[in-house]
Amino acid sequence: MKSLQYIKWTGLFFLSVLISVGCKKLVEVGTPSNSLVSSDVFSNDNTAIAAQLGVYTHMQNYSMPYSLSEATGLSADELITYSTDQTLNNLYKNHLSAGIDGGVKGYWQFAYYIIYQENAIIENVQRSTALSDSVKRFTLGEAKLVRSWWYFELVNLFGNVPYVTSTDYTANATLATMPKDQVYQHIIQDLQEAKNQLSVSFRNAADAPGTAERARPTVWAADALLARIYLYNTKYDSAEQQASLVIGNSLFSLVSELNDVFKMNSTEAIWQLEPSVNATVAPEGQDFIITTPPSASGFAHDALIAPLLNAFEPNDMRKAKWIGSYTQDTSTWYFPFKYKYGYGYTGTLQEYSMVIRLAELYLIRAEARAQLGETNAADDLNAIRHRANLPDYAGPANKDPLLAAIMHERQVELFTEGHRWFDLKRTKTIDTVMGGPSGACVAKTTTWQSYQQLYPINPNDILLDPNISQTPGY
Amino acid sequence: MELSAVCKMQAKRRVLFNQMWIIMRISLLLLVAALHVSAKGLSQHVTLVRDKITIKEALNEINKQTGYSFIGGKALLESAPLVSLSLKDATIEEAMDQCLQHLPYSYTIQGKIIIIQSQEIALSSDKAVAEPPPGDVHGRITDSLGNPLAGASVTVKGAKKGTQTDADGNFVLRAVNVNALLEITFTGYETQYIRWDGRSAISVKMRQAVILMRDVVINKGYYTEKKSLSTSDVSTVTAKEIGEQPVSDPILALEGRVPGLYIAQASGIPGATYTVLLRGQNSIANGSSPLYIVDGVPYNSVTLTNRDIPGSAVGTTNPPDYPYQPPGGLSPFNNLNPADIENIEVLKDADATAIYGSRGANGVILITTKKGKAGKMRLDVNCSSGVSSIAHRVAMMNTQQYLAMRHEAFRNDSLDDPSAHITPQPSDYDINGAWDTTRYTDWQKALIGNPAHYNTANVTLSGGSATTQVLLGAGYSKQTMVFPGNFKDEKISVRMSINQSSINQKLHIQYTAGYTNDNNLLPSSDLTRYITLAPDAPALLDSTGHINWQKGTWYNPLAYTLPKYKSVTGNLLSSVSFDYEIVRGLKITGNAGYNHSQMNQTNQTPATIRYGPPVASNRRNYLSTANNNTWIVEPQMVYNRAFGRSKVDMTVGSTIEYSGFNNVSYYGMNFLNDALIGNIANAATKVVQNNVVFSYRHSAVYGRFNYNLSDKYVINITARRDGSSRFGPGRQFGNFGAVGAGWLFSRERAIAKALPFLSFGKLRISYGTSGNDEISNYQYLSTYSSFNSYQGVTALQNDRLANQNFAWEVVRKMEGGLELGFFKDRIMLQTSYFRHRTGNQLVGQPLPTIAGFSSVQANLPAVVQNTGLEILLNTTNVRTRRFTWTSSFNITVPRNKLVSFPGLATNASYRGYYVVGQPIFINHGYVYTGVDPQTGRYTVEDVNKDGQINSDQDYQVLGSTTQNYFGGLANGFSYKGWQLDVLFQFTKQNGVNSALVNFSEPGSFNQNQPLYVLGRWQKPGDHTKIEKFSQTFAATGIAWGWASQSNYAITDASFIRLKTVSLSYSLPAAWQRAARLQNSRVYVQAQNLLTITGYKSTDPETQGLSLPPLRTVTAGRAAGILKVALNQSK
Repeated sequence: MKSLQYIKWTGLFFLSVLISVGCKKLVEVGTPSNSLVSSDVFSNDNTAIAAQLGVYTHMQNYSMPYSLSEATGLSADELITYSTDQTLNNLYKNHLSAGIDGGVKGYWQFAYYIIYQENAIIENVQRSTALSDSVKRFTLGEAKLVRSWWYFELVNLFGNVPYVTSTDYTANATLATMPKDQVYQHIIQDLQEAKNQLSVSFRNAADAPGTAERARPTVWAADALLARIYLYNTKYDSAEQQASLVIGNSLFSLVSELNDVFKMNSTEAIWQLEPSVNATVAPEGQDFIITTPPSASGFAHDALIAPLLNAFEPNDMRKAKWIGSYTQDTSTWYFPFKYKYGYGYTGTLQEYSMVIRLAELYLIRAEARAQLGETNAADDLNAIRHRANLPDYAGPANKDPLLAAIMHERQVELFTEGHRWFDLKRTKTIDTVMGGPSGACVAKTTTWQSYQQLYPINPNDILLDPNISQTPGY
Repeated sequence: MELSAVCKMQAKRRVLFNQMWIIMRISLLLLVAALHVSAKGLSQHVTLVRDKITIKEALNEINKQTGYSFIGGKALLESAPLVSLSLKDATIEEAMDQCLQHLPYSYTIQGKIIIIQSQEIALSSDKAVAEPPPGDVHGRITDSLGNPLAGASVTVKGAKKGTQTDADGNFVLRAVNVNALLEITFTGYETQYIRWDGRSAISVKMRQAVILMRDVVINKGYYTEKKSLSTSDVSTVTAKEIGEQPVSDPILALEGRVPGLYIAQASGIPGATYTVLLRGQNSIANGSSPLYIVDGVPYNSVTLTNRDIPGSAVGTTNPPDYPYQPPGGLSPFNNLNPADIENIEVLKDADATAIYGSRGANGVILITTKKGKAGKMRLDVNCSSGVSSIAHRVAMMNTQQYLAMRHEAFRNDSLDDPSAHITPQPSDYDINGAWDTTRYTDWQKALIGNPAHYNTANVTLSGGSATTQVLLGAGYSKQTMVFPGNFKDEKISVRMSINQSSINQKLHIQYTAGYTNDNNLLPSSDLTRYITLAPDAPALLDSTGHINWQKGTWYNPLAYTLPKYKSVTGNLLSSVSFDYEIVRGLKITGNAGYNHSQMNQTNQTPATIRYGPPVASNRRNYLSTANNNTWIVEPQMVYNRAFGRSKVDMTVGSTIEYSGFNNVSYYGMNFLNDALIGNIANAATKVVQNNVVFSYRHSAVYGRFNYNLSDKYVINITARRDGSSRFGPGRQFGNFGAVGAGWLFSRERAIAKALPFLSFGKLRISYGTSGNDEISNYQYLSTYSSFNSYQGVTALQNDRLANQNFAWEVVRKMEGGLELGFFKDRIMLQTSYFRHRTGNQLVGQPLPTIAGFSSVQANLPAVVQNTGLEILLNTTNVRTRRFTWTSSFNITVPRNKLVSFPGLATNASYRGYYVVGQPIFINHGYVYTGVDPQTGRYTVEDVNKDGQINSDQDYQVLGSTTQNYFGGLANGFSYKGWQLDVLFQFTKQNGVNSALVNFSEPGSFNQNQPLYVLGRWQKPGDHTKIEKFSQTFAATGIAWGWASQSNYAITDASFIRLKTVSLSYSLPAAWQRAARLQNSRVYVQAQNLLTITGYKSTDPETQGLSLPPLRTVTAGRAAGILKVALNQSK
């Protein structure tokens, strides 16, 4: 009897043991319920588009075009910060250090994070057989355009940078710094491919064409960015051609009312980003508009500085409409007021973040034409001046004074939009403007050194990949 | 099992068999008694060569030599046969065998007592011998002071009869043979044997047992064994030691007590997490957390605090699915009530941990809760209350010194750059007139200087009969905080445990369930961070009692106390287990358990947290709900049997485990006014931030084989095949195993004779493997998850770089140990040396951020070695009837080394971090070369002499910030009813130089400094350790930055801490008896009373600007109230 029982119990027991060991199911959990496997994402048009949209939400979630405008505005002669953030202070004082600020690594890491996401999209879309042709084309085009935009920012912030085009981390971990000129060649190639792939009409997030929404880039964004890049690389005829393509398109026109330029889907917008989900204001409005004395305790912590405030000609409507002020006791602070809706506004969304707008294209074409010695160079300049209620350019028609006038116009038209710092560098006027006897650094109570025009690279990346070289001087 | 010690007879086989049956059954009842088996020193061996002496003389002589005493055999002694003995260094068994040769008697050994029985009685015990007729035994059992012992077990040796004493210590046993031998057992007392002999009433006084440490039974999770026979390294911390400390988190009670276990608090805020490393860090980049198991159920050791909920004073940490968890958030162990814990066992070496397979790499910590015990129902009440405060303040500058520093900084900066006209700016409010420079605020007093109150109460009802024992308990604790405002950590717990066994003791069932609710109200920032505010910074409150923003010139730290930040954690832990003996020696057992913990967090931020008119978008209500479920089922089969001198113990079993996690976090904003924030439905905007979901499965089959020869030689083999869902297809399973061996050399005759002072000696070695799967789930899958939405369409982002090919990280553990007891175990020394080598390292392989992510999951063929020497010395320094003094000293000398790293020189990801032959904790940085006496600036070595200091070219390998050694010294004194316990903890280590890392550059705006920076450079030629004051980040500031990345930023952070002092007084027994109380005492306890250190900032343990461990002093009283006994035998 006993032995029978014994056998029964042991039998049951071992059965349970065997079940637990033999069954692989016991250690399989399937795929997580809160995410999608990559191959599934790119076998469906909607999710493939959603992957590209993720790049835009990411940029806006980290206030990216704004944050770059702030950083370069502080480095240049536009902004002062009242924040206690050390990196912001060091940006203002032009005293970045590779160690303390990690080489303003936030911008660096962010750029490469977006580039990775775009590389993954490009690889997956190219591999996919399930996507419709149009989605395939548009997604590839947008991915290449956004990748180019970030490489443009990278070379202008850091100089020579590694050029990453795949998601293969073993290869990427040893990439070397690529000379800036080569990076530009890649950017141009990417943009030319994008031109053939991007949509000619605006499409909304659900991919419906003919929308008024200008929140996804089109072929015109590629043309505009190409124009800028040709200009930076002194290829003036190409710059002029590209700029003309955009200016000549009926989709775009200068907005005559200055207060409406930065509204969502304004006719001047070539590419805008919709603010982060549920935001009621764009980051530029939220973070620039001063409503309390700028300090660590207020939301806005930056203010405009004298070199910019003094640059406006009398009667320039941009000074009246695009610059705001806040006074408490005897102190007055001035702030960029291009975006009208700031911190505390809870109504419906009115403004999108501008990435590229038409006015820049006018100034690009003016500069290209001036460089080429074309006689109509001042026309585009005057188009911008008219809107600001200023008279036509009346200076000498020869190249240098005209170029100086265009540079001045860029300063007052495009201020705190991330252009000034790059313009000073590409025109090689930075040492004078920042470090000269009446340079911006006098007010900053610091001494300008030319190497400071480029930012230091994240030292951790250099430790991990010795093929990356630190920016000279750091 | 005590079988082989019990049975040693020269008798017929049938007799042996019968005897074994009887003893077997009794010995089940006697499991408790078995714990008390104690050798009272003397010799274990007999030398006696005599011809024809009486048996009485012979036994007297044996008693003299060995200390064994005799019971029974009255008739034998009276008949006084003569025996001839020739014993040389014989064992007690050999001696007894010779004595009783040819006599119709047998014997059994129970501890130090030898029971002599007539073989006829033994043979005929169930046949009931006719004469004299059986009768009823009446008796009373008391302690040595005459207090009745309720629930003591009285059994008739060799019969199935047994009962328990009632509340007054009385018992009645019906129909007992006159010759019957009664055995009386009671936990904590020495077992007594008494022959009835037909007396009308029996009165027995029980003596309190002295339990030798080596005789303690240790729990190794899947099995238990006697410490003396164990082949592995296990440390135990008991309820008594936990109870001495006023801590709300039981793991913190282990600090300084367990060799090899390093615990460092990151914050003194109640409920905050801490670092736990058992025998060092095995893994380069991975989870190094031990496996925690509470009553057989794996306990989630990862904080549930959600990092999406902004602002918590305890900080936040990585997402819960991320393997490496630096301290941050609330500790999951804060949901265990220390008063519920019976003991905590720490399993360290391969022999102990290999049976846990893939998860034993970092050791196993077993927590066992209190269970009901047989005896009268008893209500125990324990209440205490006390005060906590910061124990140490940083000496900071006063207003005059601070202002002088600021002005000096401006002077220095002007001298450096005369053309720049450096003068105070409009933003330099502290010296430009915006702030009242005559003000002085001691920010340490204002922000962290309040007394915090500590209150606990615990009530337990417990008791039971021989077959059913129950325990019901409830606990409450409340700790307020040192910050201004009503912050507190409040905890309520209830639990129950039921043990049921069948009358024949073949089946045992145990059920436990406990629920804890912890309610933690914290400020939204640790205000310790703001003790660096300028001493002339504005007042916290304005004249109207509102937060003073001083026209927006500063961020008032009191604003961090405005948000309502609350974490409510519920934790349910329940387990059921059974064991059933199918046939003799063979048991099936099973264990099933469930753990559910849930944390609800909320942060309700009003608009008043910022200066200026209230803004609706500042009003926010963040919410998070996180829960973790774990269930486990573990069937098991156990076989143990003795064959002659051999004992075999075998176990096979399997484990099926599932764990699921779900977390949703969301927030609402744009509330119309502050009063509406409490209800998220009132928010104009609602956003779901994140939804983290994961599942984890684990299954295994394991076995153990233990062989013991004569209690002298022990070998233990364990093996486990283990699968985990954290690995990709085809990589889930791994095999682990270990061999341990022990030699109790003190039981060798020659050694015992040569070293009579040596009462115990054991040598043990073990070798084996265990694994580590503490990585994030799904790392082998490339996935996309949602990231906000764009124009109303959900957007996706790629989550990670995926790698399908990683598998187990394996630790090879080797250990040798020597355990010695001297002078009747009054000195016990345990030493062990271990070497753990971890290969196939699972790493989040760091990548340059240009790859898109900063790491990818991978295996790395590197080997990390942890070696260490652990010494534990327990001594009984004085033991008299009234006064005892015991000491326990432990020290751990850990060493960590990267043994090999193939291809390190060309591995771009690692060569910047690690060096073969060095600890994995080494730092890279500049080499500090002092303050330049001419410029007054910090200097560091320019390695490549290019005149520039570059992080990529001038970094060198610096020392590591680890422990050289650590340990503790505990002393216990008892005198009559007084008991004093004192624990010192010590750590020798390097840490972070607070002057450089925690404070800004001396001279900066609104940054007060420790007083010692006054020793700064002032004029050329000064030789100082602190550079000149400066308020810019120009050359002086850059030099400060270099120094903070140099070895100057690494400093000695060693300390000796008077961790615990506990003084208690037990009320006199007579009073207690009069009031029907038991174990009533009053006590005073103190934690972190004193710290001796050369460390110059807040605290050498926390090392940052976070709240240091608090000094807590409490007083309390405890009482046990006796109630009626359950299930009285009549």
